[in-house]
Amino acid sequence: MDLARFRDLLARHGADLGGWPPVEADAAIALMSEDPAAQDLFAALVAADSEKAAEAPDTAGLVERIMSVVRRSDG
Amino acid sequence: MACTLLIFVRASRGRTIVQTSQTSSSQSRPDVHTLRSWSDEQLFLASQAGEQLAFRTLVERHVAMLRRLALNVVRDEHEAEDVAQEAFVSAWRNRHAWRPEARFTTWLYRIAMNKAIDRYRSRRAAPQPQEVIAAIMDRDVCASEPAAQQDELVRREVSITLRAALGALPANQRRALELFYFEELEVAKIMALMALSEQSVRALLKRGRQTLKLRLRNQKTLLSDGPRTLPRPARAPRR
Repeated sequence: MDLARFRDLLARHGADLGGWPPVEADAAIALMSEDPAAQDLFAALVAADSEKAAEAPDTAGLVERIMSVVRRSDG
Repeated sequence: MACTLLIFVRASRGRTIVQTSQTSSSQSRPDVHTLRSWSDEQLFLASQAGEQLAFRTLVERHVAMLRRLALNVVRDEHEAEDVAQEAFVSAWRNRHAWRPEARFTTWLYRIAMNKAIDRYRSRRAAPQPQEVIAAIMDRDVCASEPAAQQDELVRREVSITLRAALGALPANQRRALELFYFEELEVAKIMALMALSEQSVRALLKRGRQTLKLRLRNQKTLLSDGPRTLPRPARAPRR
């Protein structure tokens, strides 16, 4: 898969690999593991979807877990 | 004299300019409200100077996006949270590797994407043994307890056993089974990929299942290990 094909599939299936045919999802993963531009494309679409989302998930617990590890890693 | 290092970044004609200033200890550190008005790059430069509150502001700002980014790859909420956590911790530990010329979110998202990709691949490489066995044996054998209750050693043994059994199959049988059960492709798609007729694909699947079933049933690890035993199926009464 090349970047152009990846862009087409993103437009067709969206930035959720769960909705992609498994073979295409594997190929997309292979491309993204080698091409930062593909990662950026994927992330940009997820970010756009995220902004449209009606409700933000509750992430308070996750923030605390992250900061707990950060504090320990400095200790 | 103890000093607090404050760092400011501003963009000018496409260039990022870093300004630093030192304040005496009598000046207070920026509060949460002030930090929330800072750009990502300002916050991360402060993080590089060791300001955990600045880093926390970044975490709060981007954690939902990172979680969603990971979820769209790994398709599991718990794993997505793990990926988001690993990405932020990695960003903190490697904070001195980031340069202000790069956009912070681009750098952060790439860290998260690489971690999500690693998770995706490791899960594909080692499918949950009970799910695979249950599928491949066509409901002839089912798991006796949830995967979470099994200890890691047994799960690893089962996975190795299953992979060995699959690996011993003729190549075309193995390929057909992998496409059907792991890739979840329809027979029509397998026909196209393997350039075979429907009858041939169905025959390969049937022979592959039979061979695998026979070999797995002979594995003591799978079938005679006390409470972890994968039970033989209840046979329908003969008429």
